Amino acid sequence: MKKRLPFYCRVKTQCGVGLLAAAFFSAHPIAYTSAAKAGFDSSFELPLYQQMANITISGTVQDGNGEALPGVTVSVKGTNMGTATDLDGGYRLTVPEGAILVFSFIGFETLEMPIGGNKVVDVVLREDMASLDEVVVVGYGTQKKMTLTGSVDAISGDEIRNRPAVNMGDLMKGASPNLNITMGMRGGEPGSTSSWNIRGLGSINANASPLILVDGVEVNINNVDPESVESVSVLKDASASAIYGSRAPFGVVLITTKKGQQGKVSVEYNNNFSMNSPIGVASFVDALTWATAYNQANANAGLTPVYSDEQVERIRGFMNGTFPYEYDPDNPIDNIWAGRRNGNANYDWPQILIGNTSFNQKHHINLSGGTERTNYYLSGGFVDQNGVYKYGNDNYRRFNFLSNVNSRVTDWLNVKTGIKYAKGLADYPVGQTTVGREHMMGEVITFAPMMPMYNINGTIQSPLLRWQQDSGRDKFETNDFFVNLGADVEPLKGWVTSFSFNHNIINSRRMIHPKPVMVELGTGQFGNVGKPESSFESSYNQTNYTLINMVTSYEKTMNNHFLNVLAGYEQEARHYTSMSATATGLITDEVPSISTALGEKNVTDALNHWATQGVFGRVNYNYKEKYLFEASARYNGSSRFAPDNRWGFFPSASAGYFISGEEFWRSIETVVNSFKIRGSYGSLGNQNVGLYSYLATMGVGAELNWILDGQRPQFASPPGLISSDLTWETITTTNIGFDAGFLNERLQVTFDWYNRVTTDMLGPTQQLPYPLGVSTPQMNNAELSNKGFELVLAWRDRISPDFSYDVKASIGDSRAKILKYYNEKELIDTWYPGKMVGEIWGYTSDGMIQVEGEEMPDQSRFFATWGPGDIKYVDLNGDGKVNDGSRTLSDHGDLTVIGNTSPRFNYNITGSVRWKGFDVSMFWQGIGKRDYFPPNTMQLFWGMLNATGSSGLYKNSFTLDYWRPAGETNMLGPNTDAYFAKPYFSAETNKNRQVQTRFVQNAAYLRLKNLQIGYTLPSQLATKISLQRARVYVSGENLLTFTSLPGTFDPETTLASDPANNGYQPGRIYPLSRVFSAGLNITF
Amino acid sequence: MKRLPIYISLLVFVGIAACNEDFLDRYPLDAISDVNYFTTPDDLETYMNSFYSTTYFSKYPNHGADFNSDNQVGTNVDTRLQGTRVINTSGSIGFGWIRRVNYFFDNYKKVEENYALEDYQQYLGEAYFFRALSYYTMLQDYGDIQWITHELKTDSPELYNPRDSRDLVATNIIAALDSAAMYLTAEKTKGQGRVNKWMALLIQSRVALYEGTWQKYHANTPFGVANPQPEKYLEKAADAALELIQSGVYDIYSTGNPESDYYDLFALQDYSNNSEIMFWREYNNELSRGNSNFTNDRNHRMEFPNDNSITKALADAYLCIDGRPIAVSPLFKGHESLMDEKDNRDPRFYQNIATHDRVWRIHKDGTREYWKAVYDKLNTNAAHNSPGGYINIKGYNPDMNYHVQQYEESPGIIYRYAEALLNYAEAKAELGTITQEDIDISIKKLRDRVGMPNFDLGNIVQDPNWDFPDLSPVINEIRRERRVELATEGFRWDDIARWAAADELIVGRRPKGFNASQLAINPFPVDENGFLDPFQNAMPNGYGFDLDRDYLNSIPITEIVLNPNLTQNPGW
Repeated sequence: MKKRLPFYCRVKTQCGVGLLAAAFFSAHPIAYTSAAKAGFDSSFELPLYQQMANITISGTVQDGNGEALPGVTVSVKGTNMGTATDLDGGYRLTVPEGAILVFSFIGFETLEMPIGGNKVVDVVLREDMASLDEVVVVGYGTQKKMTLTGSVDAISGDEIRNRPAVNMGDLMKGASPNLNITMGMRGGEPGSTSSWNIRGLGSINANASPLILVDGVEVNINNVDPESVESVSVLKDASASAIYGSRAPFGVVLITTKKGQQGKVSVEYNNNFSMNSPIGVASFVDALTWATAYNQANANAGLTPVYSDEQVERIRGFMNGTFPYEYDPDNPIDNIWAGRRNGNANYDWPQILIGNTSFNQKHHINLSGGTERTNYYLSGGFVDQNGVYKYGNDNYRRFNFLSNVNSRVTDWLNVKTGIKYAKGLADYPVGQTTVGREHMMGEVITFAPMMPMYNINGTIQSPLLRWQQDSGRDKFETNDFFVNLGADVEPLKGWVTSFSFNHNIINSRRMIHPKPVMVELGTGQFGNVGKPESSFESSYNQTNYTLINMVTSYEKTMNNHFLNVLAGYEQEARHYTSMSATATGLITDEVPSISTALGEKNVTDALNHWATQGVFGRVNYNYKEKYLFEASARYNGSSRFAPDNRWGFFPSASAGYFISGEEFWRSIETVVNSFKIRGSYGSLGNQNVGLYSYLATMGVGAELNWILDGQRPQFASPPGLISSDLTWETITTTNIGFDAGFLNERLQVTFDWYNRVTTDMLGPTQQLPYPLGVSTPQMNNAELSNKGFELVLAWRDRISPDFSYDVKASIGDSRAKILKYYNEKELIDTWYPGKMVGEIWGYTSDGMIQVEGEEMPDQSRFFATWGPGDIKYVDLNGDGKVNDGSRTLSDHGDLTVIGNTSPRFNYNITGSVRWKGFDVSMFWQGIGKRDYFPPNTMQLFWGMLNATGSSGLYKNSFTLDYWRPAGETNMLGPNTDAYFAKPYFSAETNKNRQVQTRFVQNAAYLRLKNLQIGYTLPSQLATKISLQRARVYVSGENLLTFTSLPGTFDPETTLASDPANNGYQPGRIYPLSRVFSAGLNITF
Repeated sequence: MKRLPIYISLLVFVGIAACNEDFLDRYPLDAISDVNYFTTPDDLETYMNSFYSTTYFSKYPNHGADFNSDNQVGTNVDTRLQGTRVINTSGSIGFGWIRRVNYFFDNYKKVEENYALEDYQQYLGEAYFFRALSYYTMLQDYGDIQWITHELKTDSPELYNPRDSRDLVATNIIAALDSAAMYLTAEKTKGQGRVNKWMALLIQSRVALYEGTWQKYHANTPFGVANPQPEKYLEKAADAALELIQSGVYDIYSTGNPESDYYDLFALQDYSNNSEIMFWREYNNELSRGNSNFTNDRNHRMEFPNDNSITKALADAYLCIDGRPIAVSPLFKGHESLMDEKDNRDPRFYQNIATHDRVWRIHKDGTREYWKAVYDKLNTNAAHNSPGGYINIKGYNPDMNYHVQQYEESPGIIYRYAEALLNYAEAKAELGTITQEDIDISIKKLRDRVGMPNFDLGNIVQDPNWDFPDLSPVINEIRRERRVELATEGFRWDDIARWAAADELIVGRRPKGFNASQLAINPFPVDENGFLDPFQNAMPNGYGFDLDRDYLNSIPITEIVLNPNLTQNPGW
C-alpha cells in the first residue's frame, strides 16, 4: 500500500493540475512526502513504517467465545500502516508512539484501541449486529450497503451451503423476495434446470430472465458449484442494473466466487450424503373401483361397458385371490398396449414405477490462503444425483474445479486469474423411444391398474417397465471451461482501471441410442414398444463466448464528500455451432457409433452468433454518507437488430437520504438506529428477441416426413413476415424503498415498492384475418406495467455468547397488467389493454341439476341435452342463455374473470438458533395466493376425461367424487352431493368442464424446504485432532407442505407441468423428492 | 516506466475508439435469405417437397375412414352427424398452405432468367396442383372462401375481402388443375414419387363432380349458389375422367381371381408396378428411423375390431351375385347370420367384410386361423368389441409377417384409378347423357374384376329400398356402385354432402349392425328387429344432423369480428 506514496507525491509536483484528480491529493497527510525517496521497492516488508515507528506492539484478537480470529485487519488510525492477524489470532506491528490501533473484520464491530503505554494489546471483537458496514457487490464494483440507493439484496454463500440440492436454482429458490425460480418441464429429474425471474412478468413474449453473472461474466448457472459461492447479489431495480444496459432489462444476479484471504491458509472439506424419495407421485385406486367408474362413464355416454362383466369378474377374482392370473389365460394378451384394457391385475403403477429411494452425494474441498502479495482459492466439487425410476437408473454427476488467484505484481498492478471448469454428465433411459422420456410420466399415470406386470411364464409384460429397463440410453455430457484474465492498474490512489478478458467454451455432447424394446406378450410372442431398429444419434455443440471489458474508476473522499466516477467499455460475442448425425443399422448394440452403422445416415448442423457492444458510466456521490446520489447510463448496441435500430441509450438515477444520520434523529436513535429512504428511476433495453428476427430467411428442413422416390429429401419453407424496424423493448422502473434498523440493529427492515413499465414491447402489428396465412410480424407497440413490493424483516439477537438466534421473513409481490396491445376488437382470449396477466375467464357455476326438468337457463351453447348430474351455470347477463357472446370485452356473454393464475405474495421464512456448538436452522418457502384452473386434459384433477385412454383414477383426489344418482347400485353408491358432475367418456363431458368458478383451485402453498441441525466441535477439541473446525449436521429437504390442492398435486411440480407454465403436459412431470441427508464440514 | 500505469489506463479509451465498426453485423450462418432463393430448378424442387405431407395425403386409416358417415360405426357418435357441433369461437381458418403455395407463385419467376420452362415445369405444375388441393379442402369445409393468389402482407386490402362464392372457387380450382395437368409429367411413375398429370386429372374429375352435384342438389337451399351451373362442372368431371381413361396409362388391377383380386389390391406390400394405384405412400423403417410421422401398424391393429365395424346399411347395399338387390333377389338368404348374408352376394361383400370362413391370420409357421375365432369371441373384451358386428377387412393382410405393431411397412393407398371410372359414370348419369358404352368403359371394369354381371342400363332392377326413390334408377344404382366399390375409403361423407343426402340417409336414423342373435355375448342394445343398435341409448331419436346448418363448418366467431365483411355459414 504505502509503496504508492512516493509516486503520487511526484504526480502532485510534476504533473501538476493536468489531472483532475490532483485536486484531491492535497488532502493527504504531508508526512508521507518524506517517504518519496524510498522509491519503488519490490519488498513488502514495511520498511517505510519501520523508519518512522518506534514501538512494536503485539497481541491476540479473539471473538466473544474466546476463539482466535485470524485475518483481522489491524491498522494504525490515520495511516496506511497495518497487518493482519495470523492463524492464532496473533499480530505484531511497529507503530508510532501514541498511535491508535483499529481492528476491523467483516462481521464484527470495528474496534479502536489507543496503545497508551502498552506493548501488548489483546482485544476481543464483538460480533457486529449491524450490517450497515457490509460491502455489497454491485455492477462493476462493490458498494457499502449503507450507501446503496438502488434495490439490491445480498445473500451470503453460507445461506445456501450444506443442503443436498445440487444446483444454484434449487438453492436460491425463496432466498430473496421476488426472485422467482421455477422448474422446467423436466421437474425434479436429476440434472434438470430451473428458470429464473425477478419481479414477475417483464414482457409478454421475449424471455424475461435476469442476467446471471458469475464473477462478472454470464455463465450457465447450472454448472456453478454452490459451495464455492461467496455471495450473491440480486439487483432488482433499474438503477442497480442500468449499468448493464440491454444485457439486464429484468435485473441481475451477481454471484461472486470465493477468494483466498491473506494470512489464512486453510483446507476445507464438506460433504453431504442423502437419501431421496419422490413426493407427489399419484396412487391408483384399485382395479375394481377403476373398472366400475369407467363403466359408469361409458354408460353415461350411452356406450357399452369399457370392462365387460367377464373381465370385472376376473378383476374381482384376482383381487380376492380366487383368480391367480393377471389376464385371461384363454385369451392371453397379444398386443403390446392391450394389457391395460384386457388385463385383470391390480397394480399401483405410479408408485411401482416411480418409487425408488435413491442415494446421492456431494463433496467439496478447497484450499485457500494468501500472502501479502498473492491470494488463492482452489476448489473441487463433485455431486452425484440419482433419480426415482424403480427399474431404470437415471443419474446426473457434476465435477467442478475452480481457481481464483490474485497477485499484486507491483504496487500499482494487480493481476487476477480465474479458471472454472465444470463437467456435467447425465445418463437417462431413452424411455418412450419415439417421443421422449417425458412421455413415460404420462403413461405411468394413465395405464390402468389392470395392466399385467408379468406373463404367466414369469416374464415381464408391462411396456412401461420395459421402457425403463431397456430402451437404450440418452447420455449427455457438457464441459464448461471458463477463464477470466484481468488486471487492475492503480496509477493514482483511487484511480483504478481494470481490464478483463473472459472466455467461456461450452462443449456438449449428446449420444442417444434408442433401441427396439421387446415386450413378451401373453401369447409368447414379442412386440416392440421401442424403435423399429436400433439407431444412434450423436450431436456435438460448442458455444464460444468472449467478453472483454475495460472499466476505469476514480474514488475519493474529501471533507465528507465522497465521489466515485466510473466509465467503461464492454463487448461480448457468442458463437454457437452444432452438428448432429443419426444413423441406423448398427452392426451391434454393443458398439453404437456412426461408423459402425450400416444404414441410412443423416447429418444436420446449426450455426448462429450474436454480439453486443456498449459504453457505460456511473457517478456516485454522497455527503457525510447522508445524502446519497447515483446516476448511471449505458449506450448499448446489439447485433439482433437492424443497423438503424441497433443502438439504445439507457439512463438511470437514484437518490437516498440517510435520515438517521441527522442530529434531530438522536432522540429516537435508541429505538430506530438507522433509517434510510431511497428512490430510483431508470430505463433499460431488452434485447432478448430472436437472433435474426429482422431478416427474412427461408426455412430449410433436413429430412422430409415423406418418402419421395425412395428418399427423404430436404425441403424449404417460406419466411415468416418480418418487420425490419424491430428494436429494443424499454423497461422503465421506478423504485421507492427504505432500510431501517431498530433496537440496536437487531431488527432490520427493508422495503421496496416498484413500478416496472415495459414500453415498445413486442406485440402483433394487429390481429389480422385468416387469409394472411401466417402469424403477424411483431412490432414495438405494446405496453405492460408490473407493480409490486418486497419487504424483508430480519431479527437477530445474541442472548449470551453461547446463545444466539435469528429469524428473517420476507415477502414479495408483483402484478402485471397490459397497458397497450393491438387488439382492436378487444378479444378476451388474447391480451387487451387493461388485462391483468394471469386472468382466468370463466362461467359462474350454479351447482348441479338434481332433478330432470329442473329450471335452468338455456345451456345449449355447450351441448344439446342436460340432465341430473350436469352442471348448471349462472346466466349472469340475464338473457336466458349461458354463452360466451363474441368473446370480446363488450360482448362476453356470461363469462367473467373468475381468478388469476399469477403467483402472488411469494414469501419465505428462515430461522436459526445457535447454542454452544449446536445450530438449528430452517427455511420455509411459499406462495400466498394463486388460482389455478386445471385444463380439461389433466387427469390428475378430473380423473375421467372425454375418453378412456388418457383418464385415470387416483387416491387422495376428487376423481371418484363425481355425481351418481340417488339410486346408484354399483359399489361406489349414490353421490348426489358430489364435487364433479357426471362423467361421460365422450365429447359430451366437456359441457360440464367449461372454465368455471366451481373448479378454480387455490394453489397457494407453504413448504418447509430445509431443516438442518448441526453440531460444531468446540475449538479446543477440534485442535486436539488437528482441525480448525469440525461440524456435523443432518438436513432434510421438502419435509412438510401445506396446501389445499388435491392430494395428487404437488404445488411446485404439478403446476410446472402445465403447458401454460412451460410444462409439457398437465400433470405429467418428474416428481420432486423428499431428502434426508447428513454431512460433515471440516476445516484443517 | 513510472508513467506506464497511466499510459495503460489511458489505452482503455484508445481501445474503445478503435472498435471494429462491423462488430455488430451478424448475419445468419445456416439459413438462406429469401432474396437468393428460387433461382434454380433445384430450389423450386426443394420448396415443393414440403407439400408432400399428411396435410394433403392423409394416412390410409386402420379400420377404414367412413366413421363420419352411414358406412361405419365406432365407439363414439360422430358429432357432425349427431348435430352437436358447437360454433367455433376462438379458432381460425388455416391459410398457411395457401400462403405457402402463393409464395411460390410470387417468386418462382426468378428461375426464368437462366432456365427454360421444361427444366422446372414439373414444380410449377405441382404448385398448381397443391393450390387446387388446398382450396378443395376449404371448399368442402366452408363453401364460400376468399380466393387469394399471391402472398398477402399485413396491409393487403384482400385481408378484408368478403368470401368469394364457392362457384368462383370451384372454377378456379378446376382451372388450376388444368394448368397442373399441362405442366406435370405425363409419365406413369411408380406412384410413390412426385405427382403427375393423371393425378391432376383424377382430382379435377373429383372436384368438378363434387361441385357439380353440390350445385345441383343444394339448389334453392341455403347452401346453393346463385345461378347453379351443374352441367358445366359435370361435363368437366366427365371430360377429365375420360381423358384419364382414354390415356390407357392405368387399368383396374386384376389377376383373374374375382374371389380375391379386390381384397388383394388393398393388402399388397408394393404398388410400384400396380396398374390401378396411381399414388401411394411408402413406409420404410430404415429411412424413417422410428419417426412418429411414419408410424403405421394397420395390419396389426385390424387383427381385432377394437370397437370398429361396418354398418348394416353398407352391408345391405351389396347386390346379390345375380345383380339384383337383396330385397328382390331370390338368392339372398336373409339376415339370420353373417354367413347367410354373405352367400350369393357381390364378392366385394366378403372382400370388404370379414366372414367366418375367411383367413384371419397366417402365422409364420404357416398355421392359419379364421375370422370365426374372432366372431366367436366378439365382445368378450375391448379388443373384440364390434358395435355393428361386421368387421372391416379392406386393407388387411393376414400374413403375420406384415403385422408389426407401430412399425409396419405396408404402403398406404392415396389415389386409385377406380375412382376415375366412378366419377365418369356418375357425371354422365347426372348429365343424363350416360350410355351403355360409358358404363362399359367404367363400371363394367369394376364388376368384371369381381365377377359381377355388367350394369345393364336397359334393365335396371327396381329396388324397393333405394336410398333415393325420387331420383332415377340409374343414379341410384351408380351411387350404390360407388358406395360399394369405395366403401370405407373415406369418400362417403363427401358424397352425402354433395348429394345433400343427409335427409335421406342420416337425420333421425341410427347406425345398425347385424343380427344380434348370432352373438354369445352382447353388451350393445338391440332394435325391435333383433339388429344391433349401438347408439340406442346415446341418441334415442337418431342423428340430429341439422339440415340447415351441418353441411358446412362454422366460421370462427373471432374471425367475423376481425373482418366485418365476413359472413357466417348458414344456420350457425
